[in-house]
Amino acid sequence: MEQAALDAVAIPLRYARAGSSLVHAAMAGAQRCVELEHFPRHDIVDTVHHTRLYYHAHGSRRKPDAEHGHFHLFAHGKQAGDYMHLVGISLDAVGQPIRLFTTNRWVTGETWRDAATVEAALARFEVATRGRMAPVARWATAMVRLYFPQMVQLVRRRDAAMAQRSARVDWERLCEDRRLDVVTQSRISLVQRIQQLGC
Amino acid sequence: MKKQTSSRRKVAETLAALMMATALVAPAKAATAPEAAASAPKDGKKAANPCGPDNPCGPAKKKKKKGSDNPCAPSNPCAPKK
Repeated sequence: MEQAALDAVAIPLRYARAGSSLVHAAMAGAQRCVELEHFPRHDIVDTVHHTRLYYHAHGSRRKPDAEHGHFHLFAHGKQAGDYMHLVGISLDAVGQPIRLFTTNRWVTGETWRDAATVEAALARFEVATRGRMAPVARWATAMVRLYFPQMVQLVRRRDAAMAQRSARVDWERLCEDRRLDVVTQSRISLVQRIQQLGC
Repeated sequence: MKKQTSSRRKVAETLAALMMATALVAPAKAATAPEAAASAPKDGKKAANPCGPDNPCGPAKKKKKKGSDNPCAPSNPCAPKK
């Protein structure tokens, strides 16, 4: 856990000392952030761990005002085109993580999996790549370790919220409801989390 | 125990340094909307979803290039030489 905490702070520190930030790093050298464009363009895909992530920015009814953009983290299944969304991690304009969130199926077009399956994928989550995106991938891996309990709670609450709504609305409609893009979310602070862990 | 204390101190020091360094970082510019021309449907039809694309946060899809079924074949294998 201490290594994860160290990665979560040391990686952005390296960027900050160079006059940059995690946001700029996540944008993979792009000068302009166009809504919904993926950074890097073809995502970070880890074929060893069967994981994927990318950063992008766009509006949403539940987007915090301070958010610049967010990472989406995925785990791939064994078959082509089979993937599940694990969690979203929002950054503010200077690269501080400010929010974790889950989405409904429409948002990513994923194969919907229950919380227990997502939890297992989060527990073994690791994403690695080479080149300039390598520290970004390492940072995301560290964040999943650091916030694993919160992420698990978020996904369980996602399932509970979906189950509760499905008593009134057809399940398929719920999964494709474009107003329910963010199902659950929670504000985070790296300072608070590290203090909480006693690191 | 000593090792744990030292690594915890390192995390605390790095965090403090990060907070100070972040205060000097220039905020990234907000995302801009895609240019209207680029986002308008090319065939003149109405977009299926006026509020955004289908699965706006899905993984990147690889675009198939022309002739990608046979990536090493010439473009017109039976055409006369120019």
